[in-house]
Amino acid sequence: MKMSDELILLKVFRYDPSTDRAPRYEEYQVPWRDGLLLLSALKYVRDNLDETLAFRDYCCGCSWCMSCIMMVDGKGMQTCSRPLKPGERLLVEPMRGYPVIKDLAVDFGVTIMTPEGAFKKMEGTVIRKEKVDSY
Amino acid sequence: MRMKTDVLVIGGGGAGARAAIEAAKNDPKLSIVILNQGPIGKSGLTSMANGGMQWVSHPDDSPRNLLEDIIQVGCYLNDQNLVEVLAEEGPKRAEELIKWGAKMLPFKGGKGGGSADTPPGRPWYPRSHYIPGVTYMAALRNELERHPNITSLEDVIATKLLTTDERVIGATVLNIRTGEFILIEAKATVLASGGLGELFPHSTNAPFGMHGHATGMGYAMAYHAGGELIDMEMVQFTGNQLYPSWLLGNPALLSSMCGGKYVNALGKEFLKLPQPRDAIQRLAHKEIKEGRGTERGGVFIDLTLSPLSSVEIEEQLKISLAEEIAKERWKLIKAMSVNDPDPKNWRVEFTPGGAHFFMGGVRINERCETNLGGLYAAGEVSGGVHGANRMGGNAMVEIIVFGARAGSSAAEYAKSVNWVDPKEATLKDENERLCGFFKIRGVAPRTIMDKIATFMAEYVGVARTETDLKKALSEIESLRANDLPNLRAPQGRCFNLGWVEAIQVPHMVDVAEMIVRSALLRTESRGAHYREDYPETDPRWLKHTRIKKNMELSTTPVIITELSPGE
Repeated sequence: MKMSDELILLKVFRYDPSTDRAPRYEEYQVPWRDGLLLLSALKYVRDNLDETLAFRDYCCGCSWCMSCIMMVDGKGMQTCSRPLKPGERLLVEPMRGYPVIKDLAVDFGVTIMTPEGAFKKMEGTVIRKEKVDSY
Repeated sequence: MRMKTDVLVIGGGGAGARAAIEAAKNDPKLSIVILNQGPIGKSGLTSMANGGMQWVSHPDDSPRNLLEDIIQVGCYLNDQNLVEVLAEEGPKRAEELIKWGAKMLPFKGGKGGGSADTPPGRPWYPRSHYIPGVTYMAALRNELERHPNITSLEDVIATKLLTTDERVIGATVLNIRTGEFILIEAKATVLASGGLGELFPHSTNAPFGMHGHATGMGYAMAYHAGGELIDMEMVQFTGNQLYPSWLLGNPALLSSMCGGKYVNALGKEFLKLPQPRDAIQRLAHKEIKEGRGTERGGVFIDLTLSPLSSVEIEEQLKISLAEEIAKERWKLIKAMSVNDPDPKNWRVEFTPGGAHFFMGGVRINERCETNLGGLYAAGEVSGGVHGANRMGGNAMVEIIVFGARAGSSAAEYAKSVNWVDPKEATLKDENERLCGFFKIRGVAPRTIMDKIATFMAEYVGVARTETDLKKALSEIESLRANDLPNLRAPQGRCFNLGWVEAIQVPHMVDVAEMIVRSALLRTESRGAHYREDYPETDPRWLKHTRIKKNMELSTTPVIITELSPGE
């Protein structure tokens, strides 16, 4: 297997409302290992490549709590239960429909298990609703 | 920013949420603020709990039976006034939770939902019930929202308890979303900040590795405020899964729920259930230490020997994983399970030493009062309920039983006192202290967390000795001298998780030191605290270790109301 096939390439949405005028995307390469999950890959990025990356970590780690939901290639999913294949390239963005606090961390507002409820709009935040193409 | 509230609740897990609800019900005129490190229901440990709960529900069973079991499993180190409360109020609080919308799943197969760790020789009653943490928290969250006098602050972390004259008068709080500080003045404060599993490298509190929700902040905040903590040596360990690598949380469930047998590398069954959790850990440790472990350094839970059929095991697994909620996880487990989807063929390897629960903590009485005025504690952060070893299924009951009591006591106290204005400089000082972590060069908090986890596992695990514990102390001294002064957080105030970790790390060092010093003091083996150099239980040690400010150690009597050792 070629070395490049063993790297995961993540294109990640970055936005800090306190300093950035507009969101941007950054690319990170994460070494693949057996059993690597997308959320663990993001933790790898934060621990080793960019300590400023913000996202909500797992709470349960069992695909119950929805804390780690994000848009992956345009599809909402629980990143703690998304295994990665060697050489995969993924676009990772904050969950659609919620205000962005920073990077991949969103404000879930008052709803919890039922996303179809009202969410509070926070000032100075971006709410992503548009459809995005996959990476 | 400044806020004033009658009751402040620190922690939005089961204990904190239940305390806030009870305080709100006590008097609709009271204002209650509840703090949580993430969104309530999406953070903390209650949501991640598999959901086993035990309370008395069988007509032949009684609170007295349960009390006797709890005290025997706890090796008589429980404060019995607290055990009485737990055994008697469990059914009422659980019923209430179900009424609020928590979903109880039926138990099938096996022994029909008994407690796996009933002490050997004791009569066995079916007492286990099953409410997955996520529906448990959904019910509490819904109930929180029904009370207009409760304000929930999410994505916040309390950094310090404010005191004056042995009384807690509020707390300073970091708003993680904005990086701003809030000073909250409170007439009464309930500490419900949970446990400390993340001091250890493997913990069921953090199945993917550390994530910052069980760092023991509450113990350290109480300690710095002048609180009394007891039995800080009592860490409950469970199996840590080695292979296969898919994550089950607590592999012990494969035995207690699915009938798997504990087998060593030679294929010999080395223990039979029911056994208290500490005994399982010690026996597994012994097998490995004496050379009967696997190449990976573990032992097996062998499902091929289970009396249950493939279909029954799968049903039990689905319950233990709340498969109907965790569909993605279930698919993943099936996909990754050693290439054999039939659980009847699984042999799961584990090592002892995964931190599961912490029995010690802030000393409380049956009204959840602490030694500090205006400070109440409930849940894992409190000590004394479980003694030297917790029975399975008691944690999820403890938090609602004592959460409700803490909320009620705090409300009553709040009605009888006034606010005390903290010193003008308080917020400025805390701001300066915590912004001091923003440095260009230095040691990342994660580096220190990893060091803590490494020496805690090596020297303060399942089997302890004076030599090892002293090595741990010198590691702590080295951290204090070399690493903590250079602790550095990444730049930026908004949602800066590295900064949150930097705030937690010095507290984690304090808590590690409390554990090590208490473990050194207790020169006997009792429950989860096993000293290889003092392997016997010593009746003279039937007392709590106690630790106060400046690591001042002493002992204090256990409260015995019902059952003396030997009865």
